[in-house]
Amino acid sequence: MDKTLILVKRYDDYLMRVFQIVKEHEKNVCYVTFNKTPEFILESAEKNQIPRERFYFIDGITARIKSSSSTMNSVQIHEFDNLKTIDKNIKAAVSKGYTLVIFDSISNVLIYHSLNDASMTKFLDGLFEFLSILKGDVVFVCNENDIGNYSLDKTISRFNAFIKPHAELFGI
Amino acid sequence: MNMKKNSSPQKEKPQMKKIMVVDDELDILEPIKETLERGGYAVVTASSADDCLKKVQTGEKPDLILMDIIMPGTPVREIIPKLGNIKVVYLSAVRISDGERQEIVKGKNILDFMLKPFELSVLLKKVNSIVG
Repeated sequence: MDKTLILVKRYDDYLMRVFQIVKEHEKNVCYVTFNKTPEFILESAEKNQIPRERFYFIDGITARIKSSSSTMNSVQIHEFDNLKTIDKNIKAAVSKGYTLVIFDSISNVLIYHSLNDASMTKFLDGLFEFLSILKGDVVFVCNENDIGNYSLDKTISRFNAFIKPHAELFGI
Repeated sequence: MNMKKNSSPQKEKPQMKKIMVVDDELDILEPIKETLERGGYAVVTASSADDCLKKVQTGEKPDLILMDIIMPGTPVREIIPKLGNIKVVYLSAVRISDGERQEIVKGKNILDFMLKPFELSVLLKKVNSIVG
């Protein structure tokens, strides 16, 4: 099972890197978003020749900025700081065949709730166990500074691949 | 007692326009505050949409509110209607489509959506164009 962590700097534009992974995997995508609306992601995906139909959204941002009905193939969540709700919705989407889970981002969830390394690790362990049975893969995004800020050592240890788009871009 | 009569009416000092900046990140808040103060504005800050509402309800009367979106507490969407006619500009790193942007600013007191990061000089120009 691929368990990738994308480590970004604040304001990095990493969406293209995410799309690169989506293209490589060829699986349908469960995109959990807290900082980009599904509409924005879909428009960007289409510009990058990734069909809309590949995406299902767990939308943790739209309800914060406007009242509207959900984009097709999405569910809005209103309890932004409830990992159980997020977990339940991810598992429902994966069961429908959206087996590449993109979680954008750990840093946003940390804002809403006083999470710690232990609660995040518990969430990840439960999710990864479920996904391994259904042959899913995951890509999580996190601000590099938050690893230290929130002491996320155990959280980090749950991933088996790391990408730093900033370093890739500048050849560091 | 020698009372000097004023030969001309005393000119009233124009009242400084007041801007409220709402953001939970101090390293964003402080440079914006300094830039606006150098630009001649009175500035009051708030750390969340709830804090913003509390300050408005207890007497603050900003001419413009610059508000982040991703903050702890009540979603900004629920707070905006309670701010009356105070003008608001969103400052946020949230990515939205052009259509969504137009929808958000249409017909309400939300005037614009500025994407972070931005140049502080650009922000000051925007504020000047709205309340200056």
